[in-house]
Amino acid sequence: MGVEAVTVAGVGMHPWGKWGENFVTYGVAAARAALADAGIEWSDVGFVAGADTMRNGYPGYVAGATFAQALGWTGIPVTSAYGACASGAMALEAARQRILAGLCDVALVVGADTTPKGFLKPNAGERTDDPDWLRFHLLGATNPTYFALYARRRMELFGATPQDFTAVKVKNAAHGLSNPNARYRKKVTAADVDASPLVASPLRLLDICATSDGGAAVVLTSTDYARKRLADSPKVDIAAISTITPTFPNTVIEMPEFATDSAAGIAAPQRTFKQAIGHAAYEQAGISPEDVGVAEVYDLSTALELDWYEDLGFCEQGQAEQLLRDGAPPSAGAYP
Amino acid sequence: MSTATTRRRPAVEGWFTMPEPGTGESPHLIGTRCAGSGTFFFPPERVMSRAPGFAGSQLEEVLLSNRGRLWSWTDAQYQPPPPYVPVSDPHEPFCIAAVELEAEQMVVLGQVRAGVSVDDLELGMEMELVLDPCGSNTTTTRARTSRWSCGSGYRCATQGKQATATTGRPSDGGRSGNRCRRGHAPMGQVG
Repeated sequence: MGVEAVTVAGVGMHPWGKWGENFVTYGVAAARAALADAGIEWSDVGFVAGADTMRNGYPGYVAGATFAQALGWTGIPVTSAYGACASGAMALEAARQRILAGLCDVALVVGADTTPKGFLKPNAGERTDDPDWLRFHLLGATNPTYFALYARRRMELFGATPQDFTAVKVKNAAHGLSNPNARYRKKVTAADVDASPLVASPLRLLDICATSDGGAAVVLTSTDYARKRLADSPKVDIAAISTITPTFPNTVIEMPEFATDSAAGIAAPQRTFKQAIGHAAYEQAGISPEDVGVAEVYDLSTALELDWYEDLGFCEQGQAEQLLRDGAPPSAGAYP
Repeated sequence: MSTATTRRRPAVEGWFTMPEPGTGESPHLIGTRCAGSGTFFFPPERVMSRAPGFAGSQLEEVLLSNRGRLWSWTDAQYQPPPPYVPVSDPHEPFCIAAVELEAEQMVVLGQVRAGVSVDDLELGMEMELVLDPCGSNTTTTRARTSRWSCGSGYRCATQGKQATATTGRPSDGGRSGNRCRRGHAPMGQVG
């Protein structure tokens, strides 16, 4: 009998902050916590998927091997994922596919990273054919530049206000209060956001995600393995992971690009890239946005979280501010 | 530095034209066009068309429209890290524009000329491509990069600074003023 589905048997995290340690330290701490949470021995793991960014040099490029080595070589195969902020999802999907293919029963997914103070920046060296290097060199375009372009667009098209963006921050900071792994565990007021310096108009410092060090890990098993071996612990099945790419032409400007694709020759697809990401997940899971009870939405910037409400189908385009003002996301509304 | 010893070279090869000063010619971004599908690429694709189904199609070099409409904008309040080359010490905030080209149906990013603030800009306003020194101009070799300037003749564009900031011609006159009020939907779709 084939593998029906994949179960999350355990999770672990290294707190996020500025710790000054090597990324492997965070990854190993998270991995050991996840294994303990699952009640599974490292020696029972059949596959490791590591996720990391370009900021940790060679050990980061081979993150899967780095974590497996640090935990003690057992001879198992590994893979390494780098997809910027989607690295974790890519690593999860690699591990899930491995289990669905029947090649292992237990897989460990580990992601860890370190970040510099201030703006993220491209790798060193004069790389005139690297769009990430060129956007800093020619445009002075940092990551917040792109977040701010989307934010300004929301203000112009949909009447979003800086107060709406502030409300997102206040809500998310309140969630962090009770999370021991959160970077900041303090209440943030609207006045705090308004008093923070403007970085990329209309976004202020507290509208933009902080750069942090930390790590997270997940133990995945086949549902069959979980049923037989992990009967007593709480488990969650994975119904879908969406790791799609854009369909040409991608008509929304994306970091680190200088331009969108052109829609002059080939019409833009029915859904934008971000809309398609959510749609693919819903389709895979066989559900619709109305079926979602809890949503943890990407808040790379406060305004971007509002974009995602719409792209994930929680409201019509242009209605995210209303959803927020109605108190749906922060309280016990449709999407708490 | 004497201007006579100043050589102009592009900050990146093959991305934009550099008309000689005084010729009256306007600079353009250089793109390529997929002959089969009619789609455009910027930066110019040189190897193969990225339009699905047109991998074997010819790529033709074309000059992109050097005027477009403002899709969105922001500024850099803090000095970006290297390889950004500072133009002043201390850092002076500068604007970055996303400009929608009508014929090409694409949005292109560019810095906005110094002296323009975010408050000077409005959705849908006409922007014109200009060339400016890239980074410090204290050496005799001045790299040039393309920038977007508010279209001249545009009322709310730069209030006086406009006259010195752009070499553009007031071809659009007052027309753009009426259709570029804040809050108007621009061309195309947003994601």
